[in-house]
Amino acid sequence: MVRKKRNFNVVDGLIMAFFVLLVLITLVPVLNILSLSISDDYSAIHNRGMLFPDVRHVDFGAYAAVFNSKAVYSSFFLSLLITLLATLLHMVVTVTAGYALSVKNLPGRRAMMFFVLFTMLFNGGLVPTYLAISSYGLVDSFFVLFVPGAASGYSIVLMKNYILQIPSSMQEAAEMDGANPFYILLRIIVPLSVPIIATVSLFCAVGKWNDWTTAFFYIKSKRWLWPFQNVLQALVVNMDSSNGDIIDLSKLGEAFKNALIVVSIIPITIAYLCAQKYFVKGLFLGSVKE
Amino acid sequence: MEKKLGKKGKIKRAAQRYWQYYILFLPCAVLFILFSYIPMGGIILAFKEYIPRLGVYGSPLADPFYRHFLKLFEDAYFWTVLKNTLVLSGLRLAIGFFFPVLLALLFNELKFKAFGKTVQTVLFIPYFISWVVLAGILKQVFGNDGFVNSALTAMGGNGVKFLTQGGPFLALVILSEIWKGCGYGMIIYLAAITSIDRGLYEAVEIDGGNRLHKMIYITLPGISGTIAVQFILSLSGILNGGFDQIFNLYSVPVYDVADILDTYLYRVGLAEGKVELGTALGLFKSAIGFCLVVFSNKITKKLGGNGIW
Repeated sequence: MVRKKRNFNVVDGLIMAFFVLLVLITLVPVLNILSLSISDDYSAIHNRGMLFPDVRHVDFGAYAAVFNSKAVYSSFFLSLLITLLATLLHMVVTVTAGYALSVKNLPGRRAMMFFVLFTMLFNGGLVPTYLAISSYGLVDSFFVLFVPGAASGYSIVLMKNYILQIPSSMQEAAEMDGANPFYILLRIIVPLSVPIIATVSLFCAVGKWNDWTTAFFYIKSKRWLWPFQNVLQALVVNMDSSNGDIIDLSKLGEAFKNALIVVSIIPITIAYLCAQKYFVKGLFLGSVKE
Repeated sequence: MEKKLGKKGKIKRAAQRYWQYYILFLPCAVLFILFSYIPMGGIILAFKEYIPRLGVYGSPLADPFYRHFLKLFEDAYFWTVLKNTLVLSGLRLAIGFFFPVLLALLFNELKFKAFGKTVQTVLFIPYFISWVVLAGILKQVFGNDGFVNSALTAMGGNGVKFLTQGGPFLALVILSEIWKGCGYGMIIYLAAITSIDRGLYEAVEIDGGNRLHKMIYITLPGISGTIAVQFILSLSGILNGGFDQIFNLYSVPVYDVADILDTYLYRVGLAEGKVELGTALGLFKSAIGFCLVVFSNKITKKLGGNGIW
């Protein structure tokens, strides 16, 4: 039956108005920050440019200051690097483990599954985890920034479920032709799992880009290993102008803080817009139970 | 004897046939052992007196072995922090849990595809912004001379101290979290809605049902499994007050309502270095979280749902 085209009535109008309101509530803070980041001191003092900048008082100086500050841009690139490495490692672990767990007659599969699931239900807690990581000599090391969280039960289960709904006939045919599991994984499973790989990669990348707790707990003395979020936290959230070694905040003012916030959101927005089309499919098919 | 040989043969055959799959599982196994299971072993410190020279396992048992728990439970501040955490999580569940469900139901009724896509994209954005940045934004927008207070005073009202007064602070914490998470929650439920059989809606139409009937009798039951799973997950996190969010937003004036188990655990365990007390507190949190998941999963299954395993 062809779906009838229904008329647009009051209820539709109300629902639409509701979503318009929600979109505004989401966008207003962002507009506020964007506008303030390109407004000069005059606007700040006179409470102008709260939503849209006053055209006579536009000033991109704050962005210049952001990219001229060594502490800021070096942490920005450090964050890009660890995000990339973390996502790569995470995907290698997730895809290989997800594939192994999707092999239905693999002996010991139930135990392996429990091994993965249990990490989602229970954890050692902050202090024992800290002691373990410190006993591996990872405190104040570059690797602590992307290795400890690389295996995630959620991602592995999503991946396994996704692989299970791929028709098994192709894998069987390849097996008959004598293909080994590594070949099947690379040539059949990975190309067919693009939606879930895109979705999980995006979540991992965003999580890593936004992660400040790892460095907060494990980077004690080496300030140059601080990711962007930690620099941001020191400057914007704690309003910590005592960090004389980084930047003299009092000179830079509000526009600088807002410009920093804008710069921090740009990479995620780009990644999000790129991976968006895979989203619903990846999330949905991954959450179907066998 | 024969049976034993048979078993050995079986293992040998499995190893020959499947060894490549076990190799594929190895990276995940190594990482989980190093960063999940070995720290779990470290929980034993909650019952010991930690002497760094002797290591986690060599340190002597505490006397009595539950000494650190006694100390923890005797501290009045622990109960304040626990109460704060429960109040925050309770409000969050009560106010925030059904909002994404409502959003998804309403979104499903939207007529214009292009508009819907824009809504989805925009509402998802806050989910991807870190609490560090969001706290920065909130402090700017809700600060004493931020956008909201400027607007309030411009309209002749009084300013509200969102960041330094208990009640407004809690409201800010809960609403900002709902704001951050609702786009994500909506997509989870929308994904579930797409799997509902279209024929069911046609059946309701033939029976003369209207949109509300479809929503209540088809859509809602269709996503009830997903709602149950989300509920189990939220319930298991009831002792997680949200370290990320609180730590970046709170300040001394609101400690009495905003200091939660996680922030307290961080201060005691890492900042002050009280290793055993921190471990005991962590164990208290993990154990209750674990019991809640197992328990709520059982109940969901009894009620006919799927549960999470």
